[in-house]
Amino acid sequence: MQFEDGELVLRCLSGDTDAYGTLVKRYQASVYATAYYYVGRHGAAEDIAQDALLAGYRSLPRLKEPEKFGPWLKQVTTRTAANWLRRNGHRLAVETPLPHKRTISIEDAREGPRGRSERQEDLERVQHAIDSLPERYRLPVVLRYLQEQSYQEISNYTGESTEEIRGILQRATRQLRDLLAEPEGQSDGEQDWPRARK
Amino acid sequence: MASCTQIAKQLQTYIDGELGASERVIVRQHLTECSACKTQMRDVQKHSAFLFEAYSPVRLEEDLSGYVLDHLPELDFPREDPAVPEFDVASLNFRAKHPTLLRERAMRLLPVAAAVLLIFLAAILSDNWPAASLASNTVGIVAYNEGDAYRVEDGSDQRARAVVGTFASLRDQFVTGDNSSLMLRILGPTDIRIAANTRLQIDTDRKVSIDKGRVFFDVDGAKRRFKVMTPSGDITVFGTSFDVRVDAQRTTVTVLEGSVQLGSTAAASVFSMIQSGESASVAFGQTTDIYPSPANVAFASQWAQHILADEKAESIFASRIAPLMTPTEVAGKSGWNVDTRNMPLKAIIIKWDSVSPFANYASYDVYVSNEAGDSVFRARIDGSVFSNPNITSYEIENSSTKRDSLSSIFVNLVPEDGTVKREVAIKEVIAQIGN
Repeated sequence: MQFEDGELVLRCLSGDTDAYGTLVKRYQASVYATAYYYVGRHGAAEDIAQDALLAGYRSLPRLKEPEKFGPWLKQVTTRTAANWLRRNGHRLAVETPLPHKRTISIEDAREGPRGRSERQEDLERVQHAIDSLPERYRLPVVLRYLQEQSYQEISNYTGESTEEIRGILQRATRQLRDLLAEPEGQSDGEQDWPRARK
Repeated sequence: MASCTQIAKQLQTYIDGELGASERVIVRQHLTECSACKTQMRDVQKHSAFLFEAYSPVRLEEDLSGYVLDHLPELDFPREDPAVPEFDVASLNFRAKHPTLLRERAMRLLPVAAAVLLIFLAAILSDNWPAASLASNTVGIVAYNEGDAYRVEDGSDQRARAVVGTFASLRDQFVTGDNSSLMLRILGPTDIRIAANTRLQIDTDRKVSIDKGRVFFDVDGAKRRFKVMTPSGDITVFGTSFDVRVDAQRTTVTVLEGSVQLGSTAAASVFSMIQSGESASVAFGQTTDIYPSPANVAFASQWAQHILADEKAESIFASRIAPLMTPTEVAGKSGWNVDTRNMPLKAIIIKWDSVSPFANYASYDVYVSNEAGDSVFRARIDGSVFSNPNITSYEIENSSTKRDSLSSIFVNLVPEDGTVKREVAIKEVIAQIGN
């Protein structure tokens, strides 16, 4: 039997912590993907995801519409990530990036260091391309390809309808295909305004 | 029979396995008959696989629920305001008539009263700190204070001492005296460190005004712009830390991180981008260009370094004030770097995606500066322009007399204030060059 989000929230508020466990299982992938989207590294994103899920539980009594738990949790996560960036943004700029998992998978070990660095390059190109998509497209794309979320799961989390998600992903992937097809280092002579953080 | 264009629009959804049953049948049928669409489908499929694969090294596969359930905090139920005791006329009259009786009774109750008082104090200290309750327009909290600093509430001429834990509301003024300093943390979060003899007003959570004094800002990296108004000039900020000194004659800005734009109050066309490590000032009534110069940034921030947020105030901010923020998505980016190939600038063209004709769009201030960040010209796009769905671009002529050859320009698009207005997603900025 599957409980709706709203039902689970009400159960949490009456002291049923297992209900929160169900919500965590339902949303952890989206929360992690959001954190990763902001900070761009695995370890930090995992820490932020845990913090955001804990912060979500703590402020659950403030959630006005329990059935909109997903979009609300997205806001909580965004705020947690923003706070993390505020505290660690200066470190990001100077630190050698260590974006990957601390443990190496069997595939990585088999591929050896060369395979790993190529995959690292692919990931950087993809992230760079996603950064030049319209703001509204970016998170759905990361949710879809980083955490393999279904349209319904993305919709539950972002608050947009599945129809909207379908349109967004359709347009975003087409733009990504064009962006990734461009040879390296060629953009339209435009770049982001230099910013202090992120 | 479905056309290839219609099919092309459904391929991604088809591959993602998210098409409805009837649509799926149509696409599948078409793919057996049309080799061009089939080839395209393969491309889309390959591209999707590439994206999944690129992300696989950083995908979260662990289950976080065990950790989260082991570390669950208390549920934070909003506290009720303590009830105001009712005014009991009868007992007051009785006490007035029987003063001795009152004292006797009080003596009898003393041990109990002492215990109750202790518990009450403990409760106040642990729970209701600070004692003030949150107003609907609360935007921040005092996180540090030293010496005599005051808060003047909106619309009142009463001033109250500002101490750690004092809440800050919209349109509050904060005033520091000799040898005093103050730190505010407001939504954003933005940290505002205020030196002695300063007067500052919080206009909104993204706009403050300074009459006089010295303030150090640490503005959150979020893309929403932040403004600082002073008598001589205004500062537009895009996530950064900087020091501002204000007196009646001039305003001086020193940037530690990121960049800000300093403009003159007297002339809209006078503005300059100040990068990190630079300092610039604008005089009251200045109509000539503003020139940034290298600055000793360590020196500029030295005065503020000892001002650190109180932990309790920080936690109150995080748990009670930060959740009040409604995140606003900013459409597109605000700064554009456009190549002008060593030619004079004739005009710029701004392009955006077609938008809803019914929405109320924000007007934009457009700042165009040269490679060094010095102003070229400034213009305004009225919000009504965006409401016409047939128009998706806008040309702005270089209204200045500056016709020097430029290697590149910065175009900075700053939407006007106002939360009800929508911002449009600017897609492209193009320069028209030539003599």
